Amino acid sequence: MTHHSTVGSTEKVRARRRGSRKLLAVAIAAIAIAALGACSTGGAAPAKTVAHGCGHGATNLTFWGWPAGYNLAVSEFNKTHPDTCVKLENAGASTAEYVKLSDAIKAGSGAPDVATIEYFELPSFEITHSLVDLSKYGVSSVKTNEAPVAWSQVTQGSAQYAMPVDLGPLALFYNAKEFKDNGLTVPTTWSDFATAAATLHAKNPKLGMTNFDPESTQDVLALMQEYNAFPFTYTGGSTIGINFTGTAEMAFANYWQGLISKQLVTTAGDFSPQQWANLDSGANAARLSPAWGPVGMQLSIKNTIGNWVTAQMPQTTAGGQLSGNWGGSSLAVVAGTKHAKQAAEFVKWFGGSADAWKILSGPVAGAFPAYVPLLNDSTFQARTLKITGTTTPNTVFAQAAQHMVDPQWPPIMTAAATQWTSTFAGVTKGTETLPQAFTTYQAQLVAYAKAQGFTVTTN
Amino acid sequence: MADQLAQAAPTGTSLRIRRPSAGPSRTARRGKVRQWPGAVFIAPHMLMLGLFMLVPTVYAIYTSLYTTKLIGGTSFSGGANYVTVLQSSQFWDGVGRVLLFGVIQVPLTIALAFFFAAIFDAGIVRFSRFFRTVFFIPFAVPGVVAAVMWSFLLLPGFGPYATFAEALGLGKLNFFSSQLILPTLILIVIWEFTGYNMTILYTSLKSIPREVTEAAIVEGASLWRIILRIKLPMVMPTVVMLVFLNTVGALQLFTEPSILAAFQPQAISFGFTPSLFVYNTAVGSGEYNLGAAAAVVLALIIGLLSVAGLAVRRRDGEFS
Repeated sequence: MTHHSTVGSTEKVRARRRGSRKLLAVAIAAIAIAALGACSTGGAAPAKTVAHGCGHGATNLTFWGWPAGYNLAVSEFNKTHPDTCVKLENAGASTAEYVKLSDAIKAGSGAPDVATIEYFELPSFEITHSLVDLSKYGVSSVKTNEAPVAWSQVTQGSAQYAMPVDLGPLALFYNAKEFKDNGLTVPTTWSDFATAAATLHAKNPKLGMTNFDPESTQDVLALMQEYNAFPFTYTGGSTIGINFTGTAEMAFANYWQGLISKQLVTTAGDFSPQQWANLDSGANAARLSPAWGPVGMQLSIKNTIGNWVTAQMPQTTAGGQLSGNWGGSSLAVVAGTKHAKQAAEFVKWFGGSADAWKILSGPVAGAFPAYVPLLNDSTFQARTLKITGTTTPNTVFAQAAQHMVDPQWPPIMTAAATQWTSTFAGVTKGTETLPQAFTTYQAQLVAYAKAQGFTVTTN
Repeated sequence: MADQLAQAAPTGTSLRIRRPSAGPSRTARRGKVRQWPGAVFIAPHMLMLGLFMLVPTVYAIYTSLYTTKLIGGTSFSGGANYVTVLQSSQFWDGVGRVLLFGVIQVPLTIALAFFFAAIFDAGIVRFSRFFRTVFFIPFAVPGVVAAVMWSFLLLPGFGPYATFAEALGLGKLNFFSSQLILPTLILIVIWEFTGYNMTILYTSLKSIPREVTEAAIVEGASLWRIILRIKLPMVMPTVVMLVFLNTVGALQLFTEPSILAAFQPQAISFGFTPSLFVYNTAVGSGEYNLGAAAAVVLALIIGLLSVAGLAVRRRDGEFS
């Protein structure tokens, strides 16, 4: 249970379908247990945080969000903005929330004024005209305060469909002691990375360089961004580009399949007890970690606390600085709200104010900011964690946040993620290769997109 | 339940006997008077049945005839969704899987349930009331909780059972591998439902008149002979009904695999069971129309099996 409560408390798995499903399962379990307990106490408390201190006559806003610590930021907003009263409701994490949200929008009632939406899901709501264009409410003025990639994720042309909150830039998080003991230098290119993995494996066949979970949609797609092999293109409208079989994409698939076949990397499920055990026993010497990763990781390992050092991701070309994004979410104002102006004011404050970020980057929420003043803040960059000893991970992650590939998500990501797990399961089991899975998935997704009426380009 | 049935029978008989003495007009009037309380009593049930069964079913059939696209909106598509479902290998793989699941799980569950019901009924076990309660507890545990609990118990590498299997020299057992996932689900479902089936069979066994057993003992029949040759045939209608109920349940298998999927996504595919196919198509992929068509096809399959089951029960003389 430790592992799951860890995931739950950090809420960092929001970027991942499986993570959120896991949360859902744990939440269901928790609710069930609470309900059993409630037999004697007379009823479980509703999963609702009603803000305190809302005065009479204040405009009421409903806000759907699940990440940890959001309730604290909402209370702060309500305290400092007496004219608006935000009520935070947890309508489930990630996909669970999106299903409810799109159903409520279709039904024409029951939708909130504001909702947490991950970047990859925004186009799915944009295409159904479900989000309010915030550029009409003066929110665009905060553009310079947001990391360029985050800003690009929430905008389509001149329209702004959400306010960025957090980000998940990738970095190489490695066990410095294990590297030193095995005479490894920190790899700066993917080719160095494979060489180092082979060296490590030759010294001890039980050791793998890192973990690669083929079934983890968002993890693989983040790594593909960083590899300059992102398979999707979409700029609004009815044309989608899907290309899992292009040169760069196949190079990516072949690279990782090579490491998997030679057992230089493990294929445990992301956030599974097996993965944490591998990281703690040395069976994995490194983790390709998003910025929000270390906080949760240090609660799930014990033997290697203090050994972990952060470095820039290995690059496809020497001297590059690219990073990919895994996770991160935004706040969108839902079309049909009667209080778009107040809602816009709230999301602007939530994602783009020092007051909000004081709470959001704090110990409870632990979000990694897309908010540039904090990214550049020397105190923020100098923070250390138990797991990192005296080294400062935020220095590297903040740098990575400024050099991220801007992925264009297609408006079919829910279906894409649903089909992904089944299609890629064979790679973990060893019954198919990653390039084969890419080829199968390409055909599936193109067929789905065409069935949905899209024009599909595949190059 | 058996006691109530036993009391109901004589009352009915006495009514039938009394009726002829009353005039025909009186009978008719009484009949009319009697009809409306009956209607009132079944009204809530019929209302719920209508609201939560009939209306959604009709709506599902209606929805399944249309296709909604993200680009292009909704249009009538006739049987196109049905063609897609009928041609989907994923859907039929799921149907095949639940049939295989049912063929193994249903007989095992009922055999185990009968075994325990019979030994408790025979009174050869002490504290049988306590054990009956213990056996029934898994049924009281919601399926979701059971699935979450088993996910932890069977966790590869870390769960107590995997550790135990390794200590026994069975190597690193992965209960969620493609070979073992179906046996694992069968295990979980048997654990959940044996107690429930046992309780029904126990009640049924208890309703067998004592004299029958006593006569058999006097004739020198052994315990197992009494159980297998005398009691089992007498509770056969109950067994047939349980086979039918359990089979329908097996075909609708959803909760356990969908919860396991959250812990072991590689073990449970998109269309692992037909119900999961319906759910993943509708909710996971946003293809509600296609999901509705798959649900209708699944309902037809279960309907056909139900009709076949009824035919068997009628042949056996359970209904006139």
